[in-house]
Amino acid sequence: MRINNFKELEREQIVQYEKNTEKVHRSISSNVGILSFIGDIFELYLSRIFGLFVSATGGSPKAPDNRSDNGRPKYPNTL
Amino acid sequence: MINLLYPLLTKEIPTDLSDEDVVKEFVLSNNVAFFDILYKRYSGKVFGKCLSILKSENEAEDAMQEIFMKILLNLSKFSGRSKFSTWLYSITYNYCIDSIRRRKKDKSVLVDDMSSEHDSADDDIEDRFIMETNVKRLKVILEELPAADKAILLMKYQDDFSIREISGMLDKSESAVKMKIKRAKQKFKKLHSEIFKNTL
Repeated sequence: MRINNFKELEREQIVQYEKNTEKVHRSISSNVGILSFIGDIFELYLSRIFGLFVSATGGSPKAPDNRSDNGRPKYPNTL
Repeated sequence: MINLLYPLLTKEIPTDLSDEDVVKEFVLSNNVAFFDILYKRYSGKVFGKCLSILKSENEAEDAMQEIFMKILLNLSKFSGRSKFSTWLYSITYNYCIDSIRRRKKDKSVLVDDMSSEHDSADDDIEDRFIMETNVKRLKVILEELPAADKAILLMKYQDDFSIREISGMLDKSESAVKMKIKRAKQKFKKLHSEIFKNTL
């Protein structure tokens, strides 16, 4: 088998710096937790944020009424 | 939050999946446990590369955190046209070289050295000489080499990337990559004879 000390150096580094990689893993997990939390909050309040945006731009958050003025359906097949 | 609890709520995840399958599973389930499998497989290697290029444990830790966060946030964009490891190492090398560029404005990283002082055809250095340099000496020489040369030697000898793969990763032509490898090998040999001249 061909000797390749670059590979040997890589193996040594993996063992030698295991603690560093664990430390970074903890930090990444904490970042993922924060991002996930922000994502969940955003998801939960997305409809309200959207409504707020619509109100701020002068619209009404209520859906437009499809029915005619006197309460009768606008189209015959509309319930 | 459910994504974090998901691994605890589901059955054990098989760890013998290929990297590409792990990526697919992650994209489908958004389960961070799949990301952890990739992290376990590659964190040591990525850290070693960051450390070799950046020369500082703290900087290597910061770089690795940024690289893996980038990977995590972009896993869904991984197209599978290359191997996952090629994609990961490409991000790693480019990130580290950019860091050096920002930090030092290292000319060897910024501009292609187009001088032809070492371009004589008769000084081709055998791969064997480079690969068989013992680990202690290898560490010393890599410490002294400019970042761009170090990165290209690691790509060739540590990661076994082909010229075509390296050219894709660095966005350079194949002939430019060949020339860069040749120059990096020449610098390696020069440093080797300078540093270890008394022990040859």
